Amino acid sequence: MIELFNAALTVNQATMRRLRDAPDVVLRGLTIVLFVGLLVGAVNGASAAISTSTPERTVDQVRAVVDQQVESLVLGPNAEEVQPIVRFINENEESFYALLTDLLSLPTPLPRPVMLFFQWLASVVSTPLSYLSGMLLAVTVAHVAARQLGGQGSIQQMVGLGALSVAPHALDALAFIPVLGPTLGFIAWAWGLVILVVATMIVHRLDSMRATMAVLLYPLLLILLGTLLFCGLLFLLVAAAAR
Amino acid sequence: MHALSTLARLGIGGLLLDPRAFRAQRDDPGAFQRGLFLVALVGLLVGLASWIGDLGEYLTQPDPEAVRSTLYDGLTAMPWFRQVAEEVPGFSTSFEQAFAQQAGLFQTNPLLGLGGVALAPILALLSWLIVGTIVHIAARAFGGTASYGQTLACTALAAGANLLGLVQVVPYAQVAGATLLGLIVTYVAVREAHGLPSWRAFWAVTIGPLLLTALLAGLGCCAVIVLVSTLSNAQGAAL
Repeated sequence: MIELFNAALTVNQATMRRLRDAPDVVLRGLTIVLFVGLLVGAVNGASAAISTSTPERTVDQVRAVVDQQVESLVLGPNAEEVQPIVRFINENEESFYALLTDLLSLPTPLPRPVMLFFQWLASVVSTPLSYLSGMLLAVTVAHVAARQLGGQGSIQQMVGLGALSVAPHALDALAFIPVLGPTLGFIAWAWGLVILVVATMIVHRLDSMRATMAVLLYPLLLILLGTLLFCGLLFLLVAAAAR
Repeated sequence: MHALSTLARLGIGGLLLDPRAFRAQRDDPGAFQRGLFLVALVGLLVGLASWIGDLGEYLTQPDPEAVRSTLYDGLTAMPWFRQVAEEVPGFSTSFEQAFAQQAGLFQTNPLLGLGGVALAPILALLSWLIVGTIVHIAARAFGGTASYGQTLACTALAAGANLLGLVQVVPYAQVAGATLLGLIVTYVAVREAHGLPSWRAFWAVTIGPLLLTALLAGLGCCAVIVLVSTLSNAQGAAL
């Protein structure tokens, strides 16, 4: 499994071809998703459990988010217009934090550490499914487009090899590091995209241009369609308001 | 015991899109009955797992009545509440009434979830029969050759995708990907059962959800048009 994980990260085409022809291609691909998901879920779950270990820490987290939002409002281009909103937040935030602390401090049948453990465990078991869901969507769309472009691979091969695109998301385990976390997340996403293109190329025996088109075609079309729909709706609403 | 291990093998075969599991279902005369048991068993297990998870969540949450009174005390102690209460006569009474009406939202009883456990296999069987029937009609229209029983026996393996729902045994866990995986399993099932080429199998499986999406999108557009015309009429009347 580690060998396959390394092969995915290094986009090793020989290993990917061997995987394509293996009868247990789906099982081996999904093992990578499970491995990455468990790793990321365990680290991120632990990070979340530490930052919410006491009601005070949870409230501090909320306070940091609210402060950041208020700062962006005050420094934004509509600073004058949002003054009433900022004043409302400033007047009420301390009593809101007091309410939040009271709610989080209410006694529960099982002690708080049990809840934190459950939430950590939930993160561990849910993260692989979250990766699986995203991967299946990307793989299905790429598979349909690849078949339209003349590809010959099967959905089993596509799922098995497409699952390798989850491997770089092991970097998401560092998401708790400020600034560096989101950057690494973007790198993992781009790296995964490259692996998905190579996987489509190998599964469907397409050239790199067609494989890239297969992976990007429908997402780009969807973005375009979504933008057009949004603009149309906005136009309709503005027209209705102007009448 | 042997029957259970066969069911487990079939469920995992469906989850892993193993063509051999689908072919075995297609060619076995007793496969429909086995499929029925598989769908019901997975439905029951997922329902039970979900209930256990809910019970765990219930045991780690405070008493709903305490949440309600803390929320009420906290909200009424906020500066905005005092300001509005001073400016708007009768606001405090209306707020209290509205809060009392929402009291049911805070009440949860884990025992009520047991009904869901019993309902889960029934819903799983119903959705299997409905999806199987639609897919069978579409597959036959596209030139498929399998019988209704064979289609249902193969599409029963889509229950394997629902095995992902077992993670709900962990409180606060979220399931994702089961629906899409279920669609992919159904596609493989139709292709193997009816011996259809990939594109025909694809359309046989997607035509139902596509029609439903088109219907919902049409209804959504109608709702937007009605909303916009109502807004413009209201504005015209105001002017």
